[in-house]
Amino acid sequence: MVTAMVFAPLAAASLLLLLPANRRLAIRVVAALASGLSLALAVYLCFAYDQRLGGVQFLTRLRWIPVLGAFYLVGADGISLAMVLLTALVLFAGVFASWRMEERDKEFFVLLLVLVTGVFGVFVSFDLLLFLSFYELAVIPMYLLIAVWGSTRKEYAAYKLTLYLLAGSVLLILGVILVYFSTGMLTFDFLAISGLRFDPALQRRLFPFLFLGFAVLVPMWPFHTWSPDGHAAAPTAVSMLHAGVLMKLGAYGVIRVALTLFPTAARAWSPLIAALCTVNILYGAYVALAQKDLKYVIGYSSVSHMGYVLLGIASFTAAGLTGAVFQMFSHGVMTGLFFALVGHVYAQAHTREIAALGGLAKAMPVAATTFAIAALASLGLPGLSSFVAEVLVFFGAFRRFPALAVLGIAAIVVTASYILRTTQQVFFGPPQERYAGAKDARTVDLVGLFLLLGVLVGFGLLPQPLVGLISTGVQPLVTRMGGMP
Amino acid sequence: MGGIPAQLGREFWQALAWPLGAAAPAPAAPALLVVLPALAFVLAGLSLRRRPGLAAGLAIAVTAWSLVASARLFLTVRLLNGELVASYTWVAAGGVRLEAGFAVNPLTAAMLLVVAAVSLLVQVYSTAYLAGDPGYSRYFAYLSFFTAAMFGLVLSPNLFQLYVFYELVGLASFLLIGFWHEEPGPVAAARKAFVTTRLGDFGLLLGILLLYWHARTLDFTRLAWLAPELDPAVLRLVALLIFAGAAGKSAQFPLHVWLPDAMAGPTPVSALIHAATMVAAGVFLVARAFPLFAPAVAGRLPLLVVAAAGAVTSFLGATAATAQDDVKRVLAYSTVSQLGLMMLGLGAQSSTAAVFHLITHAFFKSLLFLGAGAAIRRCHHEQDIWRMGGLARPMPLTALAFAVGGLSLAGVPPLSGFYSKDAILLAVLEQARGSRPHAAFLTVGLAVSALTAFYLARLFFLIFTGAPQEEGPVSPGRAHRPGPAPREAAAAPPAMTVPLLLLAVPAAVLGYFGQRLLPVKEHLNQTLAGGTTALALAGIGAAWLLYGRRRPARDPLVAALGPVHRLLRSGYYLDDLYTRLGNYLVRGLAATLHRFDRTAVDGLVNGVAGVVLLSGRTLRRVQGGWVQRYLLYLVAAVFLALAAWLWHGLELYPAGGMGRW
Repeated sequence: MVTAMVFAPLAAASLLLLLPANRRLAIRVVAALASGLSLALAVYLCFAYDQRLGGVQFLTRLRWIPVLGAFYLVGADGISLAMVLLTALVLFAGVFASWRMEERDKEFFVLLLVLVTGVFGVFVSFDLLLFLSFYELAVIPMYLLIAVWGSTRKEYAAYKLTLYLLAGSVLLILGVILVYFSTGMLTFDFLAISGLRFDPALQRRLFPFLFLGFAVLVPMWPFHTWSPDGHAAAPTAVSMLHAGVLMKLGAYGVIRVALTLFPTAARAWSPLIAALCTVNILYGAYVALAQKDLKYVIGYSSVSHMGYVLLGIASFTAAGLTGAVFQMFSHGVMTGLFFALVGHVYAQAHTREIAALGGLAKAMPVAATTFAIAALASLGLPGLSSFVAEVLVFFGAFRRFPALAVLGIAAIVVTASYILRTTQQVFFGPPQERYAGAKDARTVDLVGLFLLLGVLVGFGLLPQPLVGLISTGVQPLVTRMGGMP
Repeated sequence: MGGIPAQLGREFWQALAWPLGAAAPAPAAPALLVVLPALAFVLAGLSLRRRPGLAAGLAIAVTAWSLVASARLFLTVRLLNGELVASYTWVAAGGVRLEAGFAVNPLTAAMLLVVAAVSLLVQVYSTAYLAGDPGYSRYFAYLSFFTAAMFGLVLSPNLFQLYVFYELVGLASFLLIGFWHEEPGPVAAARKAFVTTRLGDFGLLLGILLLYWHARTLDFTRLAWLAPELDPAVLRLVALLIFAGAAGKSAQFPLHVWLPDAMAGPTPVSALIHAATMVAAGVFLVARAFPLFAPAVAGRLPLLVVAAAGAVTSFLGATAATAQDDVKRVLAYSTVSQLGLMMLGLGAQSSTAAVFHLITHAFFKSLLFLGAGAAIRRCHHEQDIWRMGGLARPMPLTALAFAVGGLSLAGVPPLSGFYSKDAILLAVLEQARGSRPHAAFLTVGLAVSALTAFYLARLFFLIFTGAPQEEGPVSPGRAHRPGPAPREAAAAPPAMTVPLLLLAVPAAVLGYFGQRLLPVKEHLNQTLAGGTTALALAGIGAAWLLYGRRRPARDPLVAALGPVHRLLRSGYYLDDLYTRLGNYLVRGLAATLHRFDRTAVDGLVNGVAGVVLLSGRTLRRVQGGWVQRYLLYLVAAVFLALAAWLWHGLELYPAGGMGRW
């Protein structure tokens, strides 16, 4: 089941390769069907997962490279499932947001689907070598997608992004190899490795490799500058996946690998991590305040919001960790929504410069309303899922690092300021003559928009199903770390 | 079919029919107070866009139901002399359990009644005031949203739920201040209101976090039991943080600056949200969390801070109100001042007096706003009182209602404001025996009484008496707002006058009856009552001398007070100060950090990248050019390195074997 979900996009990508490039509708239908299938399977898995049992379920174990002790070992726990669901949602919405893609659309959809297979794979791998392979599979197509289909300084952004991520990968690969040899079992089987208790001295030496390798992708300050550039340059669907999902790979890796294997070292490092991610939160919010390009505002807001994820992780509490994973989910949905709408605005107004936009609510009321709701989610308004996530992170962080938590929470005021200013400048104010002909979001766009919006509101009002699911994944981790409830 | 949906459906209908006389107890009825307006919001927002009448009708029907339900709930809890409580787990993760539910007790039930009554009258009034506006359905959708959020706030059984709805009423306020979103003024005012109140909410959230980890509960009832056992030092901090939240929403100094600007919203909204209900939420919050403020459990400091903030705010608001020329700004500063008075009452340990004044204030202040709205609409959205005048003749009912509201707020006996304000001053007087700060607060309270009467009389004389003023050109920004049709130019339509007259009733008599109905323990102190009455009459007399006897061409106070008048008119220059501070601290810091990000953080990386790019170009020349291929080589190299490591490793550790496989 897990395997089918992971490879449905890859299968569709191969099918697309066989299709002639001029069958444009067929290409889109295949992409939509494959992503729809993945979404349906992801939803099914979330329901089928037995929360009372907990742990990793739906395991498939096949020999992959026996000589290395590497397996095709996939499965899912509460954390994986939340991430898988997020990926499927954003992919599905992203396919519809790219419906009107003109240039080399076949190749675009192929790469998009390959990338998503990589992302799915990372979230369900329980073998370190498999994990790394999927990880690279997710990162490489991103380079091409930005460099070929991007805008504003696309080559620069693509290089920058890829170099950062590969630098991170090198650390990860080194880290994984060191882990491989230090266990003495010569296996990549994560379930086996995570059953071990590493020597604290060894933990302290290994933890930085794995943590930093993933933290670049989160992105943790000061390794964050690739992300706003990457967001801004990428085409709509790629921005959605990039900010919505790819950044979560980093945070997921931190939780799944770094924290699980090296709890003692993580605890020792956590004050520094908490301090850095508080910088993330405040710094990202302040820099977002100074941006003039709509995509950069969202880009820096992501830097700020992902800081909450790290803060929740660093809190070492069940509430904080659950909040962190919930925030990954909710931020992914929200940013997906944002970038879909920014893409729409750009397609209609041909500019993303905030000062040049204004009064668009008249020409595109539906897009304006949707954007406003995403903005409210971004500033953590109750009733939307981000609020639940942030509040849980705050509860957790305040327990362990009250002073840093106060600074982090202070950002809610700054966030309100920049997000409202941006929304108002783009959509409110006197309607402008030159945008009178701008079209509102149409049926194709609405599929993705309403799906993401529904998730944002649904889990905002009734968060417990998802919170419960995530908790089952978080609880064993907290026990292992000796953390606080 | 049985099951949960059917059960839910049955409970829904039972609860819906309950206030209409069904005998069966309906536990879900309080929940419907939130659910029904929320449904009205969704329906009006989504499907009724092209049928404005239906949107308004739905909103009004739901609010009318809420009024009946609130009344019945009020009677029920009075009869029970207890509390109806229900609480369910909303989110539970690790050691954090957040609950949602409702609590109906005499305090919350009275608030429900006030909110429902004022909402209903404002909604009816709005059908005429907003008639013809293109955003008519949107307006009623927002109003329904506000009603739902406000009920949710009032019904909260715990501090966390209160915070949730605190934010949501803030959103409703934001949406309605910026209702005319194509005008720059309202849009900026809406943002200012949201961000400023959020500064207070930030404090409230910190208070909640601190309290939760200390007491492990946020439930008001449980907290009241627990409070004496908790650490007083922690509780002191918690109380101060909660007060920060109250100060934001209830426009207390130094966070009051958003309220005068919030008048950019439609006038009925100013009446409902920015005079009667939402701005009183801060006072309600402190009253609800009052056990945490008790000097016995939290020390004297918190209540002293509350009283001081209230006294400063009320003086600042009352003085600033005397120097405004915009009718709505006069009333807004008046609201700031009265909210300060309520806080002063809380600070004087009398939450009863504060809530009593909150309730009477809700009626007479919304009456004043709606009356002003009728005048403004008749003058084609002119709000400058120097360009209004003589309106008592064309709109006598409005003038009458306005006069009742004004006299009540001025504290003239036996109208409502007299009783409730005196209850507060009496509480302060009792504290003043043996406490020097409270003696000062009492002086402030008395000064505010005189000033209140003065600015209200000034307002009445300039708007309703004297000769009608020439109508200037309508200011361009407001040209599209709906005005009166020519045939109704003579008087306000009944949809507007009837709510005015209905509001005039409680504004006049609620104080007298409320004194008996509500548990107001304080008895009238005859010296105090005589003194405040004399002060009120003196204020009215002064206004008559200056503005009533003969209408001056311009305000005589401008020349008489000189720079002081400018100070008052600008609201003590606090707005300018904040704008500058904001520009330097927030925008300046943002710009600096942005430059830092682009140069320092990024520069380092670009340096590294530059080297790699250079080698990339060289390689490209050698390889003949595909970036993708270059990248492929890069990846291949990484994997080669990986293989080398592994090979190396395998040789290093041959004895380790192949693990378990």
